[in-house]
Amino acid sequence: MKTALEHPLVADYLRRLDNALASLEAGAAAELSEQLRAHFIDALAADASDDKVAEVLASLGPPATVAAEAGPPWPERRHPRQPLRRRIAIRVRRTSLRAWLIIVPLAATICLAAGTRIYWAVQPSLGFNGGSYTWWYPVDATHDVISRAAFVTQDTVALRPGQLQGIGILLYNPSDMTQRILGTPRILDTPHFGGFLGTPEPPQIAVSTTMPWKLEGEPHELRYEIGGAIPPHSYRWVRVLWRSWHCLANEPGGWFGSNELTVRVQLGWVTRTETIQLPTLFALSITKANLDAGYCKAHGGFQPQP
Amino acid sequence: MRGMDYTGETTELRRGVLGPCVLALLAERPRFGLELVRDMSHADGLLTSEGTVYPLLNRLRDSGWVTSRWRHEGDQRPRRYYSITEQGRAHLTGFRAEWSAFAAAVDTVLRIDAGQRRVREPGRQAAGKPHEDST
Repeated sequence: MKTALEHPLVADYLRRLDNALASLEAGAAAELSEQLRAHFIDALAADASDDKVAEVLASLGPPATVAAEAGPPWPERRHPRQPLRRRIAIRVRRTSLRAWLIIVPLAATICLAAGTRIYWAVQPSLGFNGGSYTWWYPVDATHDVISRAAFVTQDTVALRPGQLQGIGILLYNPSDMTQRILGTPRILDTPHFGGFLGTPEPPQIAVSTTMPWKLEGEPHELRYEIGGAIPPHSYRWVRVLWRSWHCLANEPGGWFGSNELTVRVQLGWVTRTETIQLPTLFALSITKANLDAGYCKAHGGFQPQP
Repeated sequence: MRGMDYTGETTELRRGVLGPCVLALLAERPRFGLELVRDMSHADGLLTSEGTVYPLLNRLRDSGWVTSRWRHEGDQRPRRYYSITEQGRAHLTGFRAEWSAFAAAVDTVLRIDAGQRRVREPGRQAAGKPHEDST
């Protein structure tokens, strides 16, 4: 389908923009490029006149101005980490001779593998880091309700018994090592969630295989891999799908939800559990129709709440 | 002081307040990019270049004050909606308090200066009550 991006004036602007963004970190440049492309698509009809296009371009400002404004953006650029070798050298210079007399014999007793393992273990965990998120299926994403109470934002959709539901979330790996998400996630906080996600089949978690900020950056357009990895200092979309299960509830009008996601993660040879704080409380509401659907009965009967 | 160029000063001032203005709009409700840009443009003189809103949004996101999520609405293509975080709300509340005091202080000083000038201009009637220190 033709879009405003194909208009010669827009294409020329985007070409100059991409050149102006060349000095930025690749992810930041790609994201800004995606945002402006979305701006053009929203602002201009596919058959917009030259005058209308020129008006929108003039309002946006020159590509160089936009690129200059993106100057000091990303956390890792604002606070660039020293290379590991330099960090070690600085630490060595600051250690006194007396301390060395203690450290050297001690270090000799620790094998290289153990040292490596410790290094892996202290790597920071995956995190949300102000990224993006969405309910995965359009039927949920178009009908979600966002509410706010007691300083908690809650994003609620209707529970669809026996059907797949899920979320997509952009996670950041702040560590120096690739982190591979192995495990079945558990969403915690309420006693309902173990049953909700644990049956009748394990939830599935997958990681996008590419950078999220390609053209248009839409998470559904990316490829996903179960057991996929997030490279060091990179973002990836993470897709969590589960078959919804409401049979632990005993009346309509309630909801299950959580604002934490727990995953099993592998760094090098080490496997550990990481709890990721989600940007909102994802919740599933239960309606009378859910409870009348007969689904619980067909799957072992209705169970009262603990 | 005619002929003096204030563009640089107002540009810096504008840059300083754009972030809180974006947060204020997002505190009202989440918005997608173009929607936010258009609403900012409705405030005369606030935006000189609409394209600069996007880098600003990314900086606010990096600060943890703004977050974004993809939403599908009807038959329209998915859009990225930006919303304010709890940290962002706290920052906005703090800025609002500081801004009120700051703006009032600046306004007071500017009014005093204007009053003095009116009194000192020869051959012209002062518009307000003359200051006692005028000579």
